[in-house]
Amino acid sequence: MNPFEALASAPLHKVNQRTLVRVRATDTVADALQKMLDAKRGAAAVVDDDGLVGMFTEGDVLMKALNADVDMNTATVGELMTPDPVSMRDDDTFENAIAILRKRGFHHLPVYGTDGRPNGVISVRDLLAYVADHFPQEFLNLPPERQEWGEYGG
Amino acid sequence: MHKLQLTIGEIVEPGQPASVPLDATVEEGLKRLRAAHPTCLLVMDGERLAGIFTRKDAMVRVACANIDPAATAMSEVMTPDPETLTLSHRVIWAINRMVSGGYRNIPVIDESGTPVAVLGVSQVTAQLDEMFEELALPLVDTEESPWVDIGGGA
Repeated sequence: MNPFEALASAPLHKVNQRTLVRVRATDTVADALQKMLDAKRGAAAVVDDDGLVGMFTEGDVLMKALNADVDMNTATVGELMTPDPVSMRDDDTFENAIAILRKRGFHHLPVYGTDGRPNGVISVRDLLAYVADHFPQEFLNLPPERQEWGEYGG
Repeated sequence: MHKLQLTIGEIVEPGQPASVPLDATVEEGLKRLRAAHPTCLLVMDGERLAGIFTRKDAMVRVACANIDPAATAMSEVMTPDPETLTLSHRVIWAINRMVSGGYRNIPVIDESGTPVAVLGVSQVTAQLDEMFEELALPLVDTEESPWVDIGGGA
């Protein structure tokens, strides 16, 4: 298996996942934003007693919460969240995560553990960090700009 | 040529990235950011790139900070003097900068320093996705081999 195939087939549990910021659909937008700010996250998982019911992200904040007619102290997360989020499993591959992020235009994907519960979230930057960490060293040592001569030796 | 070795100039179309003037109000900036669904706005001081305003800035510096968007200038909520790339930088270098700097969008400038594009994580994930799709393609021998029938026997 070459390094690119190894990258494509890497299971997501090998990627550095972040812990989920969990909010409830009944939480106010202001409270959810404070939790996201404290945790320095751009997305929160909206959960009920049975599991994940939505995601509340920077995109929802921009497109919905920052409208003049929304009072963030009274509007609830449930009113503004993106329901029925696409999620991944711990044993899904890196390749699948990249394909979904690309096709759906997401920046964050909640990840279910082998226990069937949403345990973490992977951001697109976490995936890029995995590329940087695990790519063959010779690639990362390349000069930043393409050179006409010399970089391949010989 | 591997896709991560491509230059940014080979994967983005130079043009005029979405921007607002430095003295625009945050309200105008938010409207612009919502309208065409760009992932960020470049904040321009005349011809000079003065800053960048992203969805994350909208969440952290506008929604969480509880400011009045109509009475606040973009200069107060932007990230000033953003790191830039050029069209001749490689995609792998852009990944390096996105991971190290924690960026999801990096302005791309020409020789005169004028912004001609923004490289976003979505363009990078598109390259990874296409690279993985190519890995999955079956190997097809396009040249006729002179050794078609090796037959049996001694």
